[in-house]
Amino acid sequence: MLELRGVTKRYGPRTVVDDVTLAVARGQRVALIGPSGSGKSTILHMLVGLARPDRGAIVLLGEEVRPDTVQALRRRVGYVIQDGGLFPHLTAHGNVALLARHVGWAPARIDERIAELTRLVRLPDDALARYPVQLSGGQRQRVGVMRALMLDPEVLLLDEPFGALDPLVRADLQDDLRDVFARLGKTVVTVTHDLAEAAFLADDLVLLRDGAIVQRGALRELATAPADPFVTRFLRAQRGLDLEVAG
Amino acid sequence: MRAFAIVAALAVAAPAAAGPLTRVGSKQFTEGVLLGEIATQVAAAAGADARHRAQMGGTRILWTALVAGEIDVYPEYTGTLVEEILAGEPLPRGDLAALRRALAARGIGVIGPLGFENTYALGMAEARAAAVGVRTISDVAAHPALRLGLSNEFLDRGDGWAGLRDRYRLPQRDVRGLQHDLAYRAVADGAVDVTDLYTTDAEIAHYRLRVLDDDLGYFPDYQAVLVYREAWAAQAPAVVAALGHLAGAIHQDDMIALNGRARLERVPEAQVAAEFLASRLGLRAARASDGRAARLWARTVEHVGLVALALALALTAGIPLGVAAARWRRFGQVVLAAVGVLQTVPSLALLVLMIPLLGIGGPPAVAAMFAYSLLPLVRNTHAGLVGIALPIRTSAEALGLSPSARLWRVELPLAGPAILAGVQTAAVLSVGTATVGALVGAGGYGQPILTGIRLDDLGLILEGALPAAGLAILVQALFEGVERLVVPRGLRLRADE
Repeated sequence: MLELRGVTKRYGPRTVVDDVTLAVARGQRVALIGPSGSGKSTILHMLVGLARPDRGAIVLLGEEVRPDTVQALRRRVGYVIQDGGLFPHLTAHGNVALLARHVGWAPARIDERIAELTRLVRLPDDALARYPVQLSGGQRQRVGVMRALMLDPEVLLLDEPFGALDPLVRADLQDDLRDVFARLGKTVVTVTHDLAEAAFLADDLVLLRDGAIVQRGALRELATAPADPFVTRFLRAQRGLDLEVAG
Repeated sequence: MRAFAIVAALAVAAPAAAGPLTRVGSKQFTEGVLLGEIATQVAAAAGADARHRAQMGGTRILWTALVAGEIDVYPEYTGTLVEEILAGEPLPRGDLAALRRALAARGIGVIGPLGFENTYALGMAEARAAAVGVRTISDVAAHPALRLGLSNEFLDRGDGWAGLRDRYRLPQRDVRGLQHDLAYRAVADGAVDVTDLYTTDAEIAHYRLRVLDDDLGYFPDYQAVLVYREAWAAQAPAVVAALGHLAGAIHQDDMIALNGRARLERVPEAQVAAEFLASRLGLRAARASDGRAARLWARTVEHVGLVALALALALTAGIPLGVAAARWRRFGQVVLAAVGVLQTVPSLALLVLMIPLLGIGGPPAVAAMFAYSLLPLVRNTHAGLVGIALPIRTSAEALGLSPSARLWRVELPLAGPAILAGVQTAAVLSVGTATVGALVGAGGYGQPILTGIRLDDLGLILEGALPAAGLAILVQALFEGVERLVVPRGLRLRADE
């Protein structure tokens, strides 16, 4: 479904992604985790063409991500960032409908799809007519997810989607989204620095450090068979997780 | 006698519905305007579609306009033609035939002399001159402490200050440039001791000035003539013939009286000219003087027209430039620097620079306003686009919108308030700049201001200044209203609303 082949990305003298090879199969839910500066967000940016790899190739939905292919590919991928990244001059409805209008959907079809998504992400109906500044943080994030799902993409990319939310709202939203992903069977890649969140949303964790993959596997595998002392350190640093960490 | 001749000529040239277009220009001083008005009325009576572009500026502007075909006729002086315009080819002084030949070689014809001479002279307040004991210009050289306040044109021209100073070896170095009409008051008030004057100025008697004797014979003949384009004359022989009857028709005393009537009694030039033509030459020119309201309306139409045209052009160029500047950083730096520099050029300099390219009247004024409007438009468009938060730009890109959809659906609406503020600034700025446009004959509210300064008439100045200020305030208010309509509600809301 998506694949990185020997991808390297440099910003000036700094190598932020160092020869990463990674494949995610259809329907898989993967979380990229790691400390700040480990390159996880850059990988997501390269997947939607917001950054170009200096070496290697990125293949998305069977096509290489290049300037000439990226626009069409983006419409088959949903991308959600912290706080939703909503356009402040449009209502919630306007934000969700924007891309569908641009690609020529009929208004009736748009409204039908929005009604469906509103139920799916459990957004109150009256929130649709409001502008982003009039929505709560959780509602903005739900609208951001709706906007990403509007054209029913095969892949969903989430970049620290819950970073700006308080713990209760965040837990609610995590529950709802896990439910949504399970029902839709989408391929989902989540970037987060929060191990608990990663483990909750994804079956498969990819731990990164300094732009390279340290270990990939389920949380239990990382805990019981760490590939590197860093894995153990990273897991231990996350308090409150009831894990039997090896060593 | 002459009166009969003119009437006869006019009778032959029966006024046609659409006679030959005759554009009369005049310089920016009362006598020039009066002569222009007289020529215009005579041409109109001879059937021409006659228009007077009054007080367009100084010699250079008028001559350039004539040669370029922007105007057809304007009053000039032989001395100015010899010393200033034909300065490159020395002509014998006082040789009118040689002057006619030299001008004919340039496609320019001469009507006249009109019958009076208006030469430059230096003058002092009678009391002051008597106290210091100055009778001649040589005496001025003997009194280095005398303060000179000279008209700007006299300071600049080849036959003016520089030549006079060299001839008389005048020691004064601290010479102030003044507007000609203000110079009289400065002399009368004692702010300066000596000024240049025109020998037909009515103020000489009014302010009790002593005209200093040009004892070395420096100043050349300044006989009034009309100069015209031969190309136009070929189209309008009847008009040329009618104007020809003005030759020798205006005497020195006539001109002094006309100047006094216009300048000291504040009678509008059109009326002074009409009275003169009626009483002295028996010409009844039907030239109703417009009422104040009609005048104001005409000025308003001109002014708003200039602003609207300049703004429309500036929007067409400025906003795309701002968008390009935001997209390509290097290009942006160059463009922002360039429009910034443009802004620092004084408006008068900009207008004068435009004249060789665009002629006179509306185009150079619009070009200047356009140039000044670019900075607020480009800068605000650029700032509005660059100021869009990164997550929003990232979202718009990652969503899969095409670049043009991103620009139109997301970026421009978000930059809207900043762009609109730029348009507002540009519009208010243009309302102000347009008043300066009157200096090059663009009309508008600057016209009464210029005339008011020339005639020292506060009422006339206010007739231009007040509506200009009012229009600026109106434009400001208008854009506040437009902002409510145009800026999306989501950008005006605050979180608690």
